[in-house]
Amino acid sequence: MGSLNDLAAKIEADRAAAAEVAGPINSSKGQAEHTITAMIGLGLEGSAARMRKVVDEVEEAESLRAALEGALTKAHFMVMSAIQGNMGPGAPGSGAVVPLTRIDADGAPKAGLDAIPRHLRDDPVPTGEELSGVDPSIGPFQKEHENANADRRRGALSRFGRSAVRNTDELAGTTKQAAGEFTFDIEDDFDPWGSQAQAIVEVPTGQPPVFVSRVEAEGIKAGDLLSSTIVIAAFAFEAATRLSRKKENG
Amino acid sequence: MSSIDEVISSLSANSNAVTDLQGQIHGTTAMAEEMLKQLQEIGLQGKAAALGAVKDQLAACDAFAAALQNKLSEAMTSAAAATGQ
Repeated sequence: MGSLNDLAAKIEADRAAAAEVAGPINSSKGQAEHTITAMIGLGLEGSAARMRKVVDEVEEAESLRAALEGALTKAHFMVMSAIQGNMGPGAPGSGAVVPLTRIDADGAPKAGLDAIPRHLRDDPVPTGEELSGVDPSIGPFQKEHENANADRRRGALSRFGRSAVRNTDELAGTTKQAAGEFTFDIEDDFDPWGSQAQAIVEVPTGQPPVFVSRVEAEGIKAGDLLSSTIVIAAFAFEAATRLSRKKENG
Repeated sequence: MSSIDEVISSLSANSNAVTDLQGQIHGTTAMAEEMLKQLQEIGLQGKAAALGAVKDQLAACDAFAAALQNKLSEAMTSAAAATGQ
């Protein structure tokens, strides 16, 4: 961070320049005061009063200069702390004892070093359902009931399609269950000749060897096939009714 | 009133010094701004934020310097008015 150091040096130089102006400003003030004394000696009261105003303004200028110097000192400190990480208590390596839990002005515990778990510190993040205004505590059937009148004006076909889409998971689950009772699974390692049977492959000389690999189906169940078909069918049905409605409407 | 003239010339010298100081502070602010841009480009957010605060502080310094300059001009005007009598 060479350039940050340069910046710090530049600010320090500015501060020194601001400090250097202090002497001349004070000497201006001294001269003005001297002039006032001379004026009073000469009996020029009006001019002396005006000169007093000058002295006041020079004093104000001096206090402004001091403020400027202080501000530059602060800027220098800020650059130094940017270089070295945060200075002061609480900074890593400062050696200060940092309380694990800090207290707000209100008395509420503030985030210290993660002493308080996040779910207690902050309000819970709203879910998508809460944001869209649906009570997340109600079940799917109640949700369907809440929304029951929403598509009352649609045609019967369209309503059936929509409810099929909404309840696709239940429909699929039921189908899977029903189909599972009437189907049987083929064993994965179905082998009618027994494990001792050997296949002999003859390789003609001069030809590269032929590798035979056995492709095995892994646990495909009729219920899965049926239920996924139901899911696809529900979507296709809804899409078809929408398409037809669009054509009707123009 | 040669004494008042001396006060005015002294104040004028102060004013010149403050003008130089303002120029210096402007240079420092420009440097800080350039470095801030660089830090943001690199993506050092923490350092960039710290340097942004420094830049604000330097802007405050500039305001102080301008106020100081105004005050010195006021003092010079007052001194010139004192000559009239």
